[in-house]
Amino acid sequence: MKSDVMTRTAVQAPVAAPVEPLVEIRDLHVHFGTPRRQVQAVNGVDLTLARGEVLTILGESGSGKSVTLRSLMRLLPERKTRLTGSVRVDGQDVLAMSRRELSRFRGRTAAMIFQEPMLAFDPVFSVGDQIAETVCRHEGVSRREGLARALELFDRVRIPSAKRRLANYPHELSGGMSQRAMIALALSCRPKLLLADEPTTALDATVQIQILLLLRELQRELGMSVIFVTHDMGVANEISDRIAVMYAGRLVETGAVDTVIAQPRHPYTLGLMHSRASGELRGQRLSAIPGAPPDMSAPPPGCAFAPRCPHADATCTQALPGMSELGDGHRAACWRLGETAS
Amino acid sequence: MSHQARKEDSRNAAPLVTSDPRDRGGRAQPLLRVKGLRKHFVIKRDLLGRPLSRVHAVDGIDFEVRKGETLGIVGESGCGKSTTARLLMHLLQPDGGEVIFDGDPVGTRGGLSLREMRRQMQMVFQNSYASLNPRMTIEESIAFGPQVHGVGRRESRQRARRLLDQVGLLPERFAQRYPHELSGGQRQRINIARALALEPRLLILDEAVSALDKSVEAQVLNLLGDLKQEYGLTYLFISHDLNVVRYISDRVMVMYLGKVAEVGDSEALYRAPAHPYTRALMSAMPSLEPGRRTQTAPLAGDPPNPIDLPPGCRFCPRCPLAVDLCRGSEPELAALPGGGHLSACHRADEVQAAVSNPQPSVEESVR
Repeated sequence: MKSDVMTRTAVQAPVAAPVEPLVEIRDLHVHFGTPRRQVQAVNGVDLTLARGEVLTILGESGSGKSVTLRSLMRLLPERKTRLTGSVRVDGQDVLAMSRRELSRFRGRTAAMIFQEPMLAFDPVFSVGDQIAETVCRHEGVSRREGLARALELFDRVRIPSAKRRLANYPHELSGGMSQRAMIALALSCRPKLLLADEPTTALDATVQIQILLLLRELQRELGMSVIFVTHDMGVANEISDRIAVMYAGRLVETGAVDTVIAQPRHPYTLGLMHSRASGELRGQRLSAIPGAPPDMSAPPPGCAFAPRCPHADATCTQALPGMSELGDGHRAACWRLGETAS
Repeated sequence: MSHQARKEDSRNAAPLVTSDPRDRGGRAQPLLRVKGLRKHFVIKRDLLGRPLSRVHAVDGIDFEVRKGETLGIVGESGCGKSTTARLLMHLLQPDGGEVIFDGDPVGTRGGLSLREMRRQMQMVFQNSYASLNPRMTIEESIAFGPQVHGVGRRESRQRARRLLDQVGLLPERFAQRYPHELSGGQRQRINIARALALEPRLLILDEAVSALDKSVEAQVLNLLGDLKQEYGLTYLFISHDLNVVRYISDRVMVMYLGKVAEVGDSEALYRAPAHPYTRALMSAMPSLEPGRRTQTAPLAGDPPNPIDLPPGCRFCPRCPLAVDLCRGSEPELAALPGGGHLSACHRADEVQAAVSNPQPSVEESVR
């Protein structure tokens, strides 16, 4: 069952040199199949992440951003998923890993935090025990040492009266607190890569900003790389060095956060920026992007954004645009970039 | 209580010429006036069934919604914004207070019956899927309300198709579909169409665009703007998204732990907030200016739960400006000079002065 999932041949990697990127995704395709329908969730994503870099994948629901993130840890249901391409994290080929290698890799090299912390914890054990267990299993230390590490982690994620909180069950923690506890759990084995799947979306604004600041601080302190998935441009600006905008399973624009926010070039990114509601626009109509994202069980042949794009012409609906270099690592996949220059 | 209110209102109700024949009090009379609205949920009782501890979900709030305006309500989870909406619709039974709709008290003898009130006041919820019956076609769902209220089958179906067209969904394509066949944005359009099917005057939108993707959200906001103009609607727009609320609202009300913290014209309130909580909410918004990131979180910790309220001002445990006065006495919602802008803070003037001052931190500039 596993071998048909990984169609790629495993190439023995040389020992990771420090200059090598931490994450390298090449031509990733993820298709979900049910007998009646095939959904092409991700269609050829190329992405690299340097060590110590924070990247945000920005996109709407169904754009494939979470699926891309999950394939980095192979968290997708294996029997229904077809993964092709290559995913390398810290010199290891993730798609070729055996079950055993995978469980060593998860938590140690890469760890993930989710939107719903309540679902990440087992409700019948205290949060302290769960963190200690993770440490014990991965590092083979005693339970006592595990608990000591849990306490240290709780202090690190700024949980007040950490010692008392370790004995709490997940339901006894408030939203912001359980999000902090989940971050502690994810960091328990000092991962090199932290994957964050909309971890602040369900939080109140005043708590969201606390968590974003905490993640920024931890990232600096521990020198981790972070891939952050969100649909909120403001959150992306607060957290990341670089942004990758996804639409219909493909990257449409990437670049430094300041560049993408100040001078977006892909019509979709531009559309997102211009359709934002703000006080200055009161009483005026918003320039909304018309239509809806395509059905990913039958994506259009050309540029997937063409049916909603104000600049689209015949080329756009027929052929897929490749990524064009715009300077300084800013790239966009569009045939009509000449018209979107400011 | 309601008699007196009614007398007062009937005096005010000088008939003015307006386009809507249902408009009884004229433009000057608020469409909705809420006085001392209160709802406590009992979460623990003693042996004899007497309440031991309660959630002060809505703890005595007063506000009004003017005819034709959009009043935005913002606040964090647990502040009582959604409970307020449900109390207004009588989906929850209030523990106290009155609701006066265009001069008529709602739900009291001699006032507006609940049935009649729901004809004039409708609501759209956040969860577009849960609010539609999965076994009814879209057309049936929209036509259901009018049929219950005595509109003929045929006419209500025609009305449903007309509304579908108006919310931007082709009737011939969508009328016979079921909710699961639609996207979130489309379903929310259906919910708006259904709410409008009874031709209400007030529409309560409880986080109605919050679950939508940004590109779809803008479409629905445009739709709400168009419908408001076309039908002369009044909106009560509840959201946690301060940008959207600022865009759509004429006035904004900020709630904190079941009370109104501040209310005022939306631009005035956003430009010079007069409550430290409003100020904190605003600086907690992620910055969209490239290269300018938020450096410090305005508040620490989570919003407290409204079970054990502190004495005095309920914001004071988290407030950077709290003084002894704040811990001792609860501030009333009071008008600021200039009128129209109310704040429930003992130090409202100082908060406002601090904001117009270019100093970044309230704390520093006040000291």
